[in-house]
Amino acid sequence: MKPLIRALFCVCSLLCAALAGATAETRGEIVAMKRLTEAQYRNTIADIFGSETGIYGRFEPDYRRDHLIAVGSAWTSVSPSGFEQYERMALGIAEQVLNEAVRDRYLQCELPKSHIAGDACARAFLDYYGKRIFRRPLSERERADRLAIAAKIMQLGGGCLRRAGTRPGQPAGLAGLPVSDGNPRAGSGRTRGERLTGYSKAARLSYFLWNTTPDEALLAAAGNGELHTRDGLRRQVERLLASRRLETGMRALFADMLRFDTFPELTKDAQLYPVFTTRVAQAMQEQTLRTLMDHLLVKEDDYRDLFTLDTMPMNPELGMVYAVPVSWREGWRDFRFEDASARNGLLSQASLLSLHSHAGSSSPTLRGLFVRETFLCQYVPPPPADVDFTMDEAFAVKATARERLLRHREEPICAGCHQLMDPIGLTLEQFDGVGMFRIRENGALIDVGGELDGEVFAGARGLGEALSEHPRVPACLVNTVYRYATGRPAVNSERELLGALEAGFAASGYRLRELLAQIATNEKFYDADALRRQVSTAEEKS
Amino acid sequence: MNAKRVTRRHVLRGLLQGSAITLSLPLLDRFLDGNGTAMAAGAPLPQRFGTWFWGCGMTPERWNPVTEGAAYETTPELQSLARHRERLNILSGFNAYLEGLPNQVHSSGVIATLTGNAPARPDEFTSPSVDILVADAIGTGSRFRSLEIAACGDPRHSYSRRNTSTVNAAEVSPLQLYARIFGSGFQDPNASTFRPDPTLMMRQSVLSAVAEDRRRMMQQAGTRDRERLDQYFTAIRQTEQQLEIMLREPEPLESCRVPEAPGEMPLDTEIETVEASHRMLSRLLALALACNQTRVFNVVFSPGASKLRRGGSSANHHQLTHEEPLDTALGYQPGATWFVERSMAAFSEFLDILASVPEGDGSLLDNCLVLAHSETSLAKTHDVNGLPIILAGRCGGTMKTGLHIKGNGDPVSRVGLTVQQLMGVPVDRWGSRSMETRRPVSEVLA
Repeated sequence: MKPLIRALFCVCSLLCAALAGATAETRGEIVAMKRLTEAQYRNTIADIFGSETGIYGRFEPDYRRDHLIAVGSAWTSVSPSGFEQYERMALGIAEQVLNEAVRDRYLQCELPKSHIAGDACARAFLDYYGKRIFRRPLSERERADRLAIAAKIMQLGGGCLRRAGTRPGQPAGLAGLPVSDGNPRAGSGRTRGERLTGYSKAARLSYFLWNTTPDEALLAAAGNGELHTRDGLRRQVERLLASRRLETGMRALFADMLRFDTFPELTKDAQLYPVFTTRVAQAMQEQTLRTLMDHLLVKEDDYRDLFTLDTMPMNPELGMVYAVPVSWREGWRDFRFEDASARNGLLSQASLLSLHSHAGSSSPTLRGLFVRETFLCQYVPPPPADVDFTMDEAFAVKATARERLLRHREEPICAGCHQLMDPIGLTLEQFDGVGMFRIRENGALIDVGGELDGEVFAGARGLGEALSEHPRVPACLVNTVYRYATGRPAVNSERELLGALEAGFAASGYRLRELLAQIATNEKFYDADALRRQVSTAEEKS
Repeated sequence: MNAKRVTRRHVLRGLLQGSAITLSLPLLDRFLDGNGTAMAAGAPLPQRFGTWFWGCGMTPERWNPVTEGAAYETTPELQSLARHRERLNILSGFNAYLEGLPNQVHSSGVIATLTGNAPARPDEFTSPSVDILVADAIGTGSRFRSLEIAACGDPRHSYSRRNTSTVNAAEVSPLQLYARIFGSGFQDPNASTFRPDPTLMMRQSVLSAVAEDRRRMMQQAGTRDRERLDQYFTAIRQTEQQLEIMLREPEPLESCRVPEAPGEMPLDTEIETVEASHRMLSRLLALALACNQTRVFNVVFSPGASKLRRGGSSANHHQLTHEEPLDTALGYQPGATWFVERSMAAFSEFLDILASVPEGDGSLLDNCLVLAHSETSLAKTHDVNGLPIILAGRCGGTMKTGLHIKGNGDPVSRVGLTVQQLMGVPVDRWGSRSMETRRPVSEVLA
């Protein structure tokens, strides 16, 4: 028995070590590749081996590009210290799965006594988990390679084999990412006209909507060709969109879009903001994600209305931050702000206000930049390197941010860009560096007048209304979700497609599910030629 | 496995778990190969290379000495380094040349120093950072190719990059750093017995399992993906090498001491918390070097656009460099300068820690070369001319110390070329375009 378990241990860790990435393939060509994010890796392991399976190791920080980790993941690779950790995690998983106490649950056979039966057991294990981890059946070659190891280990009575003659500095054997078999066409092997395999489509779809690996039904649809038919694809998309697991996927999408991955490193001065603790920071994020999920998925409301909501989920921890009475001990309940209150819409939530502030102060500039980049998809250039800051000195002593930022307007070199940011952020100045309400700064009353693209208004409510009516806001969401889904910025040739998606989004009354359905059922989302061409175009663009 | 004593010869005979272990070559290597990895009596001690980065530069008139050579005066911002004066060189007046590209604020300066190139976009590394080039040359004989630590709590604070997106992430928690170095897989070089962990060989067989995958995947991937795949497989290869090293019996190391596990520490950008993290991480790093777990390291005390702050203050170091009024009586920004002085004090403490580990006739520091640098000179204007640079340690006696060297506007790539040559990288030309150079800083070459 022991040799078999050891063999399975090797097979299992071997499979898991390959979990760093996912590929999109035709029969014989890899047309796109991405590294799984930490959340995707965790979700995938939980789906395959159960959520109780611990993951021991440290993930490489996710890499952001074009404002999204989803895009950065399609660019980055794995560093040596990163692989060291993947390997560690793989061993940890194998150890847990083959632990005597629980392994019966994972083994795909009764523990056999004879050597021959052991081979069969290893084969069953490999086929079952191989398919789930590679998101497709293993090719004959991949299968044979791995079974050979298992057989060898069993033959050695559970010992370990090692390739002789491998020395540091010499390429040794390599474990790999999931890879397709077919007919590799060396180098120039461009297979124009080849479509993505059904399994690649399934993985693309699943990571987009659920942020995890395909489930059994989706793998089956990939295997039987269903995903290659229009109706079949639609059926699966509808199934995924109707599932509760859509929430996992959409939480990931919005956490990426709103850069919540930067929360763990966000620090606030403990003397100035004693309310800001790790638990409060977590509650802030949860509040925003709950707001989004409730509005977009449960109520299926208009995306634009997010900016003017007067109700938000509240829990006892956040009661302090919002200075509102929370009568219940734990959990979340909706809290409605009275009309007179300045709290209004997504942008008045503490998560976004804290994230786009300094450790010891608010920042109208950072907040304005965030609104431009995230909700309007606009580019604001970085400040010139050789800015003359001598003007600052006269302004540094002023009481309010508005007065201090006046310097930006008086200097033409600053005004060009800052007029795009400061007038937006200044309308949120009644919220301090952690989003707590205030009416004075350094004793002076705060003026919350501001402006967005010619629209003049005041306060968070005014900003929310201006955004909810801004035509770029829904267009920007379309662009963001498309970038998130495809893992790259849209290229010029896709303008028409984006236009159609925007029109469809509008026609649906700006319902998120409809937008997701349009992208997920669009053949362009799976088109290998387009993917290949667009990857290189995006490359040229950058 | 029984707890009985297992010697290398036992292993060679394949007694381990009664299995057929082919463990011949690497072990014999050690006897044949005296190239830095063998530390038998008389063999030279290994040389180590590291970088130490602090953010937001300095105040030129308070940092740069005026006098060149050995008789330079100690300036206010270098005060805390005075006690290490004989073990370091101050380099001033070396510039980053931007080739007409925009100054990517808080990024161009560090990339110029580490790669000899000017980035076209923020954080763009078109070639590997110098620590990676050095590690490729000298880091293959130790368990970790390099170790990265960052004191401000963010693992993204690392400039050790093979390219823009392949970053060697930093360890930020002393406890996790401890576990990585001294936890499972650590072979105490001074242990009386050597017992290679049997799972190491299992891991090797796992990694070397699918020799064919690489070729097949490379054939199937497009150009850009092929490059990324190559990085991935390189990473795997390095893990294999790591296992290889862990299977060899380590040579005893007098100065290697296994420390106690540290406790959990708070992570924050508040200066005293950062200093405490830096101290603890550095001590563990020094022992990792003494125990030959790595020969290359990268320390980020504070990142570019440093967010270091004093408790209760509304503005951090970076904000102060831009917003703090110039004190007309003093002639500088006192708040911003305070952080420069604290950063230099932290570097001085880092050198104390390396110097506190005895090695051979001297200390660990004597067998190190540390390149300390920042992304700007005066941060207020993001100036990448006259970048502040310190070369510390004696590099096993191959570097002259105690000097102030003026670059007079020469490209900063001369420094990168110098450290590579000091570390034995066979390179005679480095950097691109107007930063391409063939001239090391010869004043420091012994």
